[in-house]
Amino acid sequence: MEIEKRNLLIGTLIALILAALLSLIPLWQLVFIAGFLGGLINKKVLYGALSGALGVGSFWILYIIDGIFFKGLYNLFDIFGRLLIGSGFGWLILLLIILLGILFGFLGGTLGSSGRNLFMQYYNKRT
Amino acid sequence: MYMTLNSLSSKKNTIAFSTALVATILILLVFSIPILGLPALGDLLFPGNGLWTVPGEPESQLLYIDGMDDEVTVIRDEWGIPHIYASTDNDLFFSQGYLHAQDRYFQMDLIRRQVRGQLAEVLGEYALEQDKLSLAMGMEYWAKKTDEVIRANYSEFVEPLEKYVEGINYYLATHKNNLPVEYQLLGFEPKPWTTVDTLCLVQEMARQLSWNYNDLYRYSNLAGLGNDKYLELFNPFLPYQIPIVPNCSSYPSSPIFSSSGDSPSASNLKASVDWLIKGIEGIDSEKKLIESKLTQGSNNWVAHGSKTTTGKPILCNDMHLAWILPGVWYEQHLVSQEIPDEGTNYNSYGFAIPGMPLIAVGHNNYVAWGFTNTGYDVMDWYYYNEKNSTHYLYEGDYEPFETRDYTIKVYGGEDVQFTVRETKEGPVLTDFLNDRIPSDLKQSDTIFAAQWMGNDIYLNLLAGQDFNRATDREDFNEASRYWDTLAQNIVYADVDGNIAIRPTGRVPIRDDSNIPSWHLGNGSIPYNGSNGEGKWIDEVPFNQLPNSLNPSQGYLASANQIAVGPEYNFSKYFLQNEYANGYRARRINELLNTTDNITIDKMKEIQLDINSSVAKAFIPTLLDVIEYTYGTSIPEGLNQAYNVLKDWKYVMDKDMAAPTIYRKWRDFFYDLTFDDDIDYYNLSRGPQLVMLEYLMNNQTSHWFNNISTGTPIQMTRNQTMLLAFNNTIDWLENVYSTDDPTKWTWGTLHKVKFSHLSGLNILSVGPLPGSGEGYTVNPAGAYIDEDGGVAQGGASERLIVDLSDMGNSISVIPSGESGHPHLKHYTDQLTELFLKGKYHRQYFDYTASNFPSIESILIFKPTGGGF
Repeated sequence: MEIEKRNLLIGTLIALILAALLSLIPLWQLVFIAGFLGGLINKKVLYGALSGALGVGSFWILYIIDGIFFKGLYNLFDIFGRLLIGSGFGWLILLLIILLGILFGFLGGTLGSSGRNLFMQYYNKRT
Repeated sequence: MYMTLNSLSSKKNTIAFSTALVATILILLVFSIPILGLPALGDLLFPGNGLWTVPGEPESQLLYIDGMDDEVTVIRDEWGIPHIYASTDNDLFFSQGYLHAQDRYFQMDLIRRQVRGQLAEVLGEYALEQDKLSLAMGMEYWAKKTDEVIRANYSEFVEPLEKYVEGINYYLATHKNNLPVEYQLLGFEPKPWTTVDTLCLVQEMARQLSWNYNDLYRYSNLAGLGNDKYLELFNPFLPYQIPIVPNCSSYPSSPIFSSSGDSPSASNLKASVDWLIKGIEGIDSEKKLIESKLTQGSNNWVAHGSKTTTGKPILCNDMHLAWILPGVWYEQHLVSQEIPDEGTNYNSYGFAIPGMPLIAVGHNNYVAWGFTNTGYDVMDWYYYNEKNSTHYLYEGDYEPFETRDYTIKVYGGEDVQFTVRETKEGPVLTDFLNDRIPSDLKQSDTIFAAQWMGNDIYLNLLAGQDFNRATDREDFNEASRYWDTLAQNIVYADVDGNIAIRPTGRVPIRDDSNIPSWHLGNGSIPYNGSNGEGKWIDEVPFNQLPNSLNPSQGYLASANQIAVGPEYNFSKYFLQNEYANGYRARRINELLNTTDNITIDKMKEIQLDINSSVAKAFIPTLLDVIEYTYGTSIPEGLNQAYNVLKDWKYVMDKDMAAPTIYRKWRDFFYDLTFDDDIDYYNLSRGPQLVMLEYLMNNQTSHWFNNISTGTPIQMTRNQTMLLAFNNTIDWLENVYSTDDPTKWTWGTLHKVKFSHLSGLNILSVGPLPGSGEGYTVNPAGAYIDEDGGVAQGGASERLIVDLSDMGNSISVIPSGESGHPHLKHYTDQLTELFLKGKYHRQYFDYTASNFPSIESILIFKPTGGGF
């Protein structure tokens, strides 16, 4: 149980750090890799999914806070919110982005953890 | 048991893996595919991409750059306005280019693309027609030619120009991953800037201010009315003008009639002209250009020291252009320590056009200058008989067209080949209109070409360079010689106390010796190019252009009115066929003429003046007519509105009701007088408003008769005015849903709007209730109908220069410095200053070491080597 909790933490940190590093490459699809690698070290699929979701989600929250409070980007999302939904909905766009980040991490983590288990089962069967 | 558990776990993992894989693939697809005309949402919204990478607020920075001569300090004040302190001119222009790209690159890029016929490359087929028109106009062609000429003959200007371009491209190269939001939304990337692009922007200003279709409209009206009636309504010399250049040529109190009595014979030409007008009006850019004439104009004036409290001149300028976001102008302070062979070092403050080096309008330590458009006739239309696609009839022979071939790239489509054919006078403008002309109007063998002063080498940037470095009137005059295309009334003042104005630019002299007797000549209507009519044989010599220095009246003012009286035009050179009604000029002259001890605050009042000289000209007569007709028993319905107007001082305040009553009454009066004539004679445009004011002197003018049925119904001026007043009250009661005239506030109907270049409302400001009208000194012109009216143009900058102490000078723009909609300097000047009638100080008299209001500091340091 202790090992699983430790792996959850490590997996979350891996996902967070990788999400940060991969954000330097303007290819958002890479975020799944962060979740995947975070999930990879978790044997329990649920923990793997949580690692990815927490890691990617945390980084995206930090990234958005930095963008809003230190780069003054809220206006831009407010404008975009007005374009898509209506006046005063910039916050909703940002909330959706965070939820999607958590979802991407979750899916990546699930893929990582379940993929790892399937691989191990396949590997064990062979040996 | 173990096998069963293992198998169960494997099943769970397989399900989890498969489900997650399918969901991941679906999400990747959904967020990677462009939808609703937007780029893929993932590319736009997710961290590390799109909106998260747009440029932020300019921060204090130290940049080491190869090839700079010395350290440059750029201080941004609280409005984000950069003050560049450089040691050399090259460093100065590099920095200016860098800043223009940092704050306004999308704007520059879009205009560059428009001029060079490259919009379809990024916007698709929708922009193809506009691209063809731009290429046919020859703006890019002549920009390239001018670039060659400047490189060959004006080497001293080449290096500054190239450094400016290097500055732009340095910014682009170092910010490839920080594209402005517009690029993210439209999904294309900027290309590097070139010197030709900068020259293309000069062409765009020339297009906006001097390219026009007036000759076509005039001909259509002349053919409809016949010469006598035409000259009654569309006389080249409008009544009540106060010429810009005083004491040069007297101005008559009524229009001069010099009709030959002949009229154009019924021919296919009117059909051809109507065909061309219809085609042109169908192109968005040209429709906008034609409509923009409603808002375009400008004011500039200067008071001599004898009329100011300081004993030195005060110079003012507000150029009226479309209100766009980001704004047309970019405020800037340029300082270089390098002393040139002639003139002074750069230390100029004012308004630059993003994409062009230098300050276009402003002041340095010694002189100040401002522009208004002259309206000089620098463009003529010619029609020809076309033999076939390669030849046209020219003075009895068939001449081959010269051709220019282009390949236009189209986003999402095939490249399009386009050939521009040129006659001896200029490019054929009808070639790309064929698909949009109604078949009943199509004239298969008539083609139209335009000759435009913009289709030549132009050296305005050289003039600009010398304006920036002028120390006195002599320097400035010499510089003005280079101001060729884009003719402007250039107002001037210097610290020595001189004031001057010179309507400056190249004006053609035409050969009108072989035109038919009905033709009005002077480039006023299209010429028969096949007959060799109206050739441009020379230009008005610079020294012969009207100008004034230190006139006895103690001030000079221009507001797009006529430059000089008819005597000059008939005995020397004919200059203008089109100019403003003169109402702004009337008010400015009235104020300057009657005011002494003028201060900066007084000049502010004049720039912000919303007193309507049109209302002052019309309303007293209306009130007289009502009193004359009804005596003391004015019907109740009319009496309330009458009382509102009676106490009014002609101030077009958005919170007042009188401006609404005046404006709608004026519209009805005009329409009741002229709409029947416009329909009956098939006119393409009505006469200028000032002609109605002139006709008011004649109670029984036949123009008041109603001829809509073909049989004239006798109407007098008074009857027309009263009918218009009744219609106004009915109309306003209906629109405002109340019969209480005090509730009919002007701002409810009359709005102002500042639109983003893209037209996106979410990036725009307004509509907001607005004061003023098209003819007030502080203008905001709009058509008014049941839904109200929105003014989308007016003062594009306001500048007041105190020649006794340049540090007292003030200015404002109706936008902000930044072109990035999410940043604080996008609309800060507009919302915090311009809309409140405020200005900001310029910090002209400070240096980098004692600057009092620093928002950020950017320092460029050389690292050696070349770029």
